[in-house]
Amino acid sequence: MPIIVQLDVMLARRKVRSKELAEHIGITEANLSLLKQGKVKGVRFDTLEKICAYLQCQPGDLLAFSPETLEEK
Amino acid sequence: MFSTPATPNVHQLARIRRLSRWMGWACLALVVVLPITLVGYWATAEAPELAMQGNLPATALQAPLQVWQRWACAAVTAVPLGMMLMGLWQARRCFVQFADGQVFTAQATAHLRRFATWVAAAALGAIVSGAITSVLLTLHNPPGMRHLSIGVGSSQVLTLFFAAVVWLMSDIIGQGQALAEENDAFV
Repeated sequence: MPIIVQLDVMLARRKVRSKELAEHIGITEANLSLLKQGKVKGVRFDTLEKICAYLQCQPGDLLAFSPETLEEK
Repeated sequence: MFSTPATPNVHQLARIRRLSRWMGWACLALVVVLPITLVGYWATAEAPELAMQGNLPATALQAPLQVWQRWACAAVTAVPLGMMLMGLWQARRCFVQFADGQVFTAQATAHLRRFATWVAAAALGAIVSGAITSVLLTLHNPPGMRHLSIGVGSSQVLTLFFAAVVWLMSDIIGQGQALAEENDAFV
């Protein structure tokens, strides 16, 4: 998948634990783990908004586009 | 104009679950009661009334009905009834799933489709069983007075229409199931 989820990087930068974020945005830790691994089909704007608000970041800080992965595909 | 999907209503789901539980019990009651009613009917009903089951006029039975004829007719009409009971059983299983809150599942769709199939089979079976019943009921009539009556009534046509509607609804639920699965893949 050419879209890379960089949530784990941002969590490390902000020194926030997954459990803490999951509780704040109201999703399970299991779902947050899937999101971190990029194993979800999509992210709701509502979820993205809560993550950005809590981590004080932009959506672009959480997602990146990797053309190399697209070529491999 | 775009429309966003409606948020699942908790009260609506609770009502669906409650109603489905009742419907499940109703299906079970019908599965038990209908065969008993069928046996009782063929054992006790008067000959002119039974003639109607074979699409015959009340005057068509010119010889007294014998016990074996009643039981043979009961057995023949039990076939479409059995098909209907199979359909009701599938409907019950579907309602049990709905009562558990599993509305958009592959099993529920499959049960609903099987229900539609059995109901359609019962409607077609009723046409055949009606014809066989007419032969059995008039078997002791004098030669030339025996009947083979094939009838397609509005009830059979409506039942087939109902089965087609349920089949279509099961397909729509299948689409809903695909959407629910896709929605689950979003966080």
